[in-house]
Amino acid sequence: MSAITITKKEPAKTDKKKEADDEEFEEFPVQEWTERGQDMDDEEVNVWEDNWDDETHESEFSKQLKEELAKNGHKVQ
Amino acid sequence: MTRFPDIDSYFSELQRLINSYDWNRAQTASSLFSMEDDHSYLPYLQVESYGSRTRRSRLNDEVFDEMTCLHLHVLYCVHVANDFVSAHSTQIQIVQLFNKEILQKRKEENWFMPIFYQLCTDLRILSKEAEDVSSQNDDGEAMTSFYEQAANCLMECYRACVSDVRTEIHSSKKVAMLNLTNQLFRIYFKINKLNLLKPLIRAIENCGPLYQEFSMADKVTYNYYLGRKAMFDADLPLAEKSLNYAFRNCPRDCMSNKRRVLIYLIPVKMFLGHMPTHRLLHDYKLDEFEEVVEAVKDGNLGRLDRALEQHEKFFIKSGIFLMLEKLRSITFRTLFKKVCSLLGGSIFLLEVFLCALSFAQVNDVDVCELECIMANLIAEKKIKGYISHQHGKLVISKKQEAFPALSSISAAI
Repeated sequence: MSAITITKKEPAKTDKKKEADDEEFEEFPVQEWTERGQDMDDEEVNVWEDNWDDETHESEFSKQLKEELAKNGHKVQ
Repeated sequence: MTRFPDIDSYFSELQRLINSYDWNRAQTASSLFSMEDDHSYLPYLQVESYGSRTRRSRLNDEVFDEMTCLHLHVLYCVHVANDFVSAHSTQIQIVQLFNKEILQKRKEENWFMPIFYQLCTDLRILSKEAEDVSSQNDDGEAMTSFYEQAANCLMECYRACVSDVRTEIHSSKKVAMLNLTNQLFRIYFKINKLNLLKPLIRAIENCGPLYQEFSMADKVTYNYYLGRKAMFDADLPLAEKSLNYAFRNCPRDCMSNKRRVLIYLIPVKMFLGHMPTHRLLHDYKLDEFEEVVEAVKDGNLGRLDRALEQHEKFFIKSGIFLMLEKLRSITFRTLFKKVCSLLGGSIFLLEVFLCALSFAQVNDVDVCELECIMANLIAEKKIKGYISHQHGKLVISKKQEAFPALSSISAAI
């Protein structure tokens, strides 16, 4: 049937299968659905935040950084 | 209760579906060729050998009849004998038969493609199973791997399909191009031969109106893999475009696939200045990213390094660790921005930044490396300004925003 011969056989591990397939992109149960337009607004666009720069320095890290700079003789505003 | 009380009923259902030469019926029939469908667990459909049995159910179509018998043998190998190597070689036989007798011989029809796709998918899954078994009792890698055998076989089918040029688009076998490209994408990802995909990707790019004929399932899958490849090739704009498409068009009830898309989309988006919201990470159980996002937003390099270390295993397994490490560069930018804003003005001694770096637990950066990091950020237009090497100073623009929002910088890397 083929050129492959195996000398010993081990029972395959079926429990291993599910776990290993975890990384694989799954087959879709259906093949067709409606495509979403590019400028169609929906909640999934709002899951990304563009204005995240901490301008007011309110984070704990910012406050401590400010103290640290001052402590080292750098003049903070 | 099964819909197939005996082997005859299975054959007659197939007969009914195949005889209509209809794509939708073939879609239904495809599950009857799957090794995971309900029917595959019925003992009387797991046939060790037909031998010379003459009295048996048959399909009128001889080729489909032969493939069905082979399929039932695969079911025996998989579910009874646990012999994935034989299952794999039998599945290869089925696909080769399909190629030789159907793809290459039946002109101007393509209704059978859903069945073909199922056969290819199972071949791919069996390659993995066979690979797993044989790596357990490995005797060297002299023979071609199961994945490679499968890839070669699928490539032959691909060639047969693309050469179907004279047929009108709705009945052309070229419609199988995208599904086959996806099958090969999955395999080549596994065996690290992504370069072999180049001509296939180009063919899809240039396929014109045919693209509209492909199924949404295949389009989303294709964009997922294309995006991942683009990420590895450091083509971030293409990665963002493809993964974004895959994420938006992946149906909501396919949560695990949406989550898989996000694992790659998140690092790409972050690098381009779009941070995932807490809500998104929570909804998709991607809490591993939480600390990384917070650290990057805060310019806190020490926290970033710790966050990467904490979930190192997950990030490496997903293949995004190196991509996430690149986020250090924008974290430097945010830290420098903070320092400039805290001190005010437009001219800064470089030692101020060294002080901030050591506060952020970055202890391996000296002034030379600092200048190098800054020079890169300036080249990438993430800082508007220049370094005065002679005076050991950074001078930033007064006229325009010296640290433009990352999301506003279109040209990445």
